[in-house]
Parts: sequence; C-alpha cells; structure tokens
Amino acid sequence: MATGSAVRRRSGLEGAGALAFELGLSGALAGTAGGILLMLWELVRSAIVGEGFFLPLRLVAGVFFGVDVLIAGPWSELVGALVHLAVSIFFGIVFALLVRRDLPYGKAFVSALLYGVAVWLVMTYAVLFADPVMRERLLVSPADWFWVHLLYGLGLSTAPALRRALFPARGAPR
Amino acid sequence: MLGCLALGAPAAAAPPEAPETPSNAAEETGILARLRTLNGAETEAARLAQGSALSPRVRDYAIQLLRDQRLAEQAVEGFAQSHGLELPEPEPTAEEAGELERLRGSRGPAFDHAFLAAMIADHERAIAELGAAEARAPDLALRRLLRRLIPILRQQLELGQHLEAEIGESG
Repeated sequence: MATGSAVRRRSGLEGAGALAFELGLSGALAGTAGGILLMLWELVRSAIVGEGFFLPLRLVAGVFFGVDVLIAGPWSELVGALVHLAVSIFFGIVFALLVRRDLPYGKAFVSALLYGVAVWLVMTYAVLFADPVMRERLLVSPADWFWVHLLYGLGLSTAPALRRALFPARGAPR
Repeated sequence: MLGCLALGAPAAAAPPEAPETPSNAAEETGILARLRTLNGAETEAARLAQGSALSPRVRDYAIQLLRDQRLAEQAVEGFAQSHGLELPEPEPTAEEAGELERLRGSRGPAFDHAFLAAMIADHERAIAELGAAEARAPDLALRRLLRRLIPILRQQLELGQHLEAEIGESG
C-alpha cells in the first residue's frame, strides 16, 4: 500500500499544498475513526434501549426532513450517515490543524478529549438548533450526548500518529 | 457527533431527592398516574394499529409511538421508584375507552383515518394536560421530566398531523 508521501509525490503536490494534503488526509481519517466510534456506540445503544438500531442516523437526517424522518425509509439513514461523516471529517481536519505531528500519543489523547468537549459545546449550543427533532430527543439523555463526544475525541487522538505513519518523509515538525 | 439519541431510560430516572411531604407526594403521584394512563391508552391504540393499519406509513408511525411510549413508561417508573411513590394502575376515562372500542370496530382505510384522528386528539389533550401539570408540579425533578417528555409528544402529534394530511390527499 502506498504511503501518503508516495501519493503526494505521484500527484505532484509540494509545499503548502503538500502540507494541506497531509493535514487533510490525516484529519479526515482520524475524524472518520472518531465518527464511526461515536455512531457505532449510538446505534448499539439505541437498539438496546428499544428505539431501533437506525434511529440515530435518522435523527441526523432530521436536519433536512424534520419530524417526518422518524418514519422515513433507508434513504434517510443514508443521508444521516453522510451528514454525520461529513461533520466528523470537518472537525477531524480542524483538530489536525491544531496539533503538532510529533505530539506523543499521551498528549494527543488528552488534547483530543478536550477538543471533544469543545466539539460538544459547539454542537450543543450552535449546530443542534438546526435539527430540533434530534435536539428535543437528546434533552432526555444529555449525559450520553456529552460522553459520546469523548469517544469521538478518542478516535481523533490518532491524528498525529496517522500523520507520522502516512507521511514519514516530512522534515520539520508542524 | 451528530448521531446521538434520545430517550434514555436510565438518565430519565432522577436521583433520589429530599423526602417528599405527603401533599407533594400525592400531587406527584396524581400527575404520574395520569401520565401513565395517557401513555397506556395510546399504547393500546398503537398496538391495534400495528396489526390493523392499511398504510405501511401508519404502521411505522404506530411502531415509533410504541417505542417512545415504552421509554416514557420506563422514565415514569424510574422517577416513581427513585422518589418512593407508588403509582396506581392506569385508569382510562370513559372517553378514552370508547375511542379504543371504536378503533377495534374499524377496518381498512377507515381504521387509518380513525387511528390518526384519535392520536391527534389524544396528543393534543396530553400536551395540554402535561403542560398544566408541569406548571403546578411541586418537584423540580418532576418538572424536568415533564419538560423532556412534552417535546417528544409534540413530535408525535406533528407526525400524526402530517400523516393525516398525506392520507387525506391520497384519498
């Protein structure tokens, strides 16, 4: 399998573009890992409490479809998955921009957990207002909503290690 | 991050608080008993709809109602347990019992219309009653529980209204 450096060389990316590619790819992968962890937890939890396995994905799609999403078909789950993934990747890339590539795993872990709390604040006090269906249901169990963002942070904590693994040839740390 | 749900029964069970005074306990028991009765009547109707509704969307609506009602019931039981309250068995009013009988006698498209009309009326009544109960509830934890359940009832009401309009349009 080609490393990120090899892909970068082949695609002719250099300088600022190369750094952006490195940050983007590692952040996107870490964000995807965190997003999958979070969503898996929620899907299993939702099934266990009796709300149905796919309800969390439907609630995400509620941002577009409103309350009708509660009885919508599989398309709404697909839309929910895509929106969740996009948001997870976005916050993953922002995290990758904020941390150094040589950050040891312990520090990366703590930073990612703190970042998870920041994401929780942004989601709760800004983004969730766009999706009242999900917001009102989250109010019933606010502790879980907080905890899963720490889980998201756990996935994000792999970002510096991913950068080092995928782009080993890079010189000065940033 | 965007994927979290919902009606978690464990979180809905509030931690034990200071001992209830007898009058507060009676008031809280009354509110919770009524909540259970409203929930119970809707559960019966939703169970009927699961088997009798013609439209798959109405059946899906009934399934969602049953899921939400089961969790609401758990939340009420958790609250009663943590506050040392003993709740009486749900007792539907004559009107609620009559409504169920009418549903049992309906078939096909008529059932779908009757079920949705009943759910809309029930939810409007429940939202009004629980809103009033929230205003007079003596305990902060009970007010919080009601504040969390009422928006879910509003979602169910809105969904029922959308479905009724949809089925009305399709004849």
